[in-house]
Amino acid sequence: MLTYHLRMAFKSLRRTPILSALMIGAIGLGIGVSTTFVTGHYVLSLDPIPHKSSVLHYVEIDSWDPNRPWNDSEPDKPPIQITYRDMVGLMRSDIPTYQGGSFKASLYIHPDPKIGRPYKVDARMCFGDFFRLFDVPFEYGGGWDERSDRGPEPVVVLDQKTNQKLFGAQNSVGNLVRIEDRDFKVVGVLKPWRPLPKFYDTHNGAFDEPESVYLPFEFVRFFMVRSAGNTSCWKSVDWDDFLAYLDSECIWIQFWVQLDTPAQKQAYNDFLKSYVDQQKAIGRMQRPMNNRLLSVMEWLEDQEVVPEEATSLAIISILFLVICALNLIGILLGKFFARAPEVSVRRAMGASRASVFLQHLIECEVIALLGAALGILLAMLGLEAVNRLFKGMSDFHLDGNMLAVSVLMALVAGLISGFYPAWRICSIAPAVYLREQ
Amino acid sequence: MEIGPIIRALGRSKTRFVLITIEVALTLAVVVNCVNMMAKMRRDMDRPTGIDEGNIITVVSHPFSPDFKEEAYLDNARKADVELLRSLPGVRAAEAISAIPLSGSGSSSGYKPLGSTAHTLPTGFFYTGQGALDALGVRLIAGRNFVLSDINESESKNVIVTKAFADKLFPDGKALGKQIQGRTPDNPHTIVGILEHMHGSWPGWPFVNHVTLVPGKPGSFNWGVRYLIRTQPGQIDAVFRLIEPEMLKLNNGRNVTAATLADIKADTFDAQLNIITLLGAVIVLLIFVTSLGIVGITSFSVTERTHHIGTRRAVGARKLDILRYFMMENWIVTSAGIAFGVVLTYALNFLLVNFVSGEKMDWRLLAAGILGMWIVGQLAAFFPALRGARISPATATRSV
Repeated sequence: MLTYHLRMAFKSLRRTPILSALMIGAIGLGIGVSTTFVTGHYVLSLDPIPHKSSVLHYVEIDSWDPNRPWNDSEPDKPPIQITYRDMVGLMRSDIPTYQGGSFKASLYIHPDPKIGRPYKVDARMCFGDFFRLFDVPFEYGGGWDERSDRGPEPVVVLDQKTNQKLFGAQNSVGNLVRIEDRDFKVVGVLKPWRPLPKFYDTHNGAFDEPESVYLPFEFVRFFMVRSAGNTSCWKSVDWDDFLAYLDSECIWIQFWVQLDTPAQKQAYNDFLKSYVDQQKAIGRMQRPMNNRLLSVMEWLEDQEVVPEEATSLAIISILFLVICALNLIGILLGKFFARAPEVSVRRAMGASRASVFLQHLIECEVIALLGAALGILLAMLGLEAVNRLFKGMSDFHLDGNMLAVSVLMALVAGLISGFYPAWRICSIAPAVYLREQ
Repeated sequence: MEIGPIIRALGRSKTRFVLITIEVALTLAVVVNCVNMMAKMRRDMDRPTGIDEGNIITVVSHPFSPDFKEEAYLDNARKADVELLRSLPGVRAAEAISAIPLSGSGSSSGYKPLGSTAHTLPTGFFYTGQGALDALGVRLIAGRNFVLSDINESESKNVIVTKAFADKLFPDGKALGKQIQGRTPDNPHTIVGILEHMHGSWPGWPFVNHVTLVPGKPGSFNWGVRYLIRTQPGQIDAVFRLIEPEMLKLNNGRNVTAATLADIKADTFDAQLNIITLLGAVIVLLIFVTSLGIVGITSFSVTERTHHIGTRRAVGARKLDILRYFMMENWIVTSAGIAFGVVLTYALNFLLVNFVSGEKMDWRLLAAGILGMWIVGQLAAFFPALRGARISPATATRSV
């Protein structure tokens, strides 16, 4: 029966090619626009590290001004970074599977003069656990161990582009790279790695590229380098005295822990509590106890990394599809009614109302599916345009989920716009039209 | 024109009536909300910054030579740079500054009147020298510029603030000469000058017009040293070409990156501009689809009523009467759609403002949208209506 209905549907579409093209075009345009923007929103809200996002936790403790919350408009939230001294304190815990603070610095690489002048790169000052926390993929070599962290030993991990530039994409493990005023031994080279968003540090550009080089955190003391991200201080500090800065109440470090089991998480919560209590005892952290452990998705939600405009555009694009579907209703009504005499004959010959209804609904769904095919093509073009427009801010593309959503949207649009016309045509009184013939 | 018969006729084809009404309503709501968002972004971009944007070049000097780690060396290098930049032909003013306004990167701080127990008020914050006012092209409306002794003091005492910030600090309007403090009363500052208007580093920041200029020696080895160069009108390209080679000739222990302030500002607003483009594309497509819908439904309605039209023509209606009939019908239906659309517009606006982001609807935009919808409706209905008017009484009565 279904094949019969399908055959009838195609026959009917072929009979009025212009009208069919219009209908497929209408639904296709609607699907194209809505798929583009819904996909845009979807890609921006994707989980950047799905296999671990629930066990990775961003650590927040309230070390801010006793007289004023971190954020006046959301006074119950602790500050979003931590101080150096608190990082040192938190690193003493042995509860997390992996842990570490890190920050972005801007450092000079001094390449072989044959390659070029010294140039600035974004560097991540971090602990060896950084690569294990975030499953950073290596092309050659690997990260460094705790001894290198403690030393600190002059080791460096290069990203793929830097290795390309300095060593022509060769395996450079064991080679030396001059960064600022000393030589660092390459221990690892990353595969292309672009977590979207850059969840481990969303400050100043949640969709920026990851840093080019990775160095042991403690070199911060030798370079006397400050964060190239955000630094916030509530207490004045002598900006020229670097050690005073490290010891200050300025926050500039992002701290992540991996807690694999609920027991671990509980234990870590207890640890944070006792740590803050200790600090309170020595006169720091005079605000109410307010520790937060945010999973990756909670953290991204909290940071509102999905631009509001993306949400607005997604809502608007769905309304666009609705308008296209309304258009379809108008055309379908016209088309079906032009066929009233034929339907009357079929009804008179014994076709049931349900069968006529089904027949027309299937025709609508055929139109919707053809429209979906067109719409998906348009969405691919649309997403390509969005990618060009935003110059690699993210990688906007369709995946299986979005293809399914787009087909589903088309089917629903087809059903909604087809239902009323199909119902109208199946409930005509055959006698009226038969008489005219 | 008889409105009664049109409305009674509409009553006989309710579906058509309802379809166009909803379509017009939704289109109005979406288009007006999109334009409202675009207008808000555009306004943000076009707000006067108080700065002579079109004639300013910004330079970042990133030292790598370890010499720059010595404070005295850095100071001398800065002085030499400023001198060089001022001496270039076509340069009107040049000064070192701790951050580039409108660039999206900089520092902020908080101040309140000395002794006040209130919270501090936020302000953008720049270390700079005497030449800053001229290099920015900002206008001093009260007090004085920095003098050499201001710059050379180890603890900066005297500051210049924008009028917007001064009025927030001292609502009585008498900020000049008053002292302000940060969180604690040690190291208070005195307001020695008030700027008419200036924007700070972050154009989207609600306090972008709160700016405090602090006399000092901006820059460090790691952060680099930044300069603003204001050129004579029409000289910006010529000066731009000179900057990098001349500065490297002066000191090769660093990299120099020059960019016009206009480009820096455009970069800061890049994402917004792209969103405006996308919203514009959606609006164009939407109006196109809706017009097609109105054309389609009016055509259908003309075809369906060929018989009636023929009859009317036969009993004496002129072509113009038929045309007017369909145009009037369209106007009535569009108007109903608009009435419903006004409600939808505010509903969508409420949704966007409260749950996503956005700007309260500007009623003037809505009024323009209504006018636009009427025009689009009439234009879309015109051609099918004309076809209806051309139906000759003879053909019409002959068949069907």
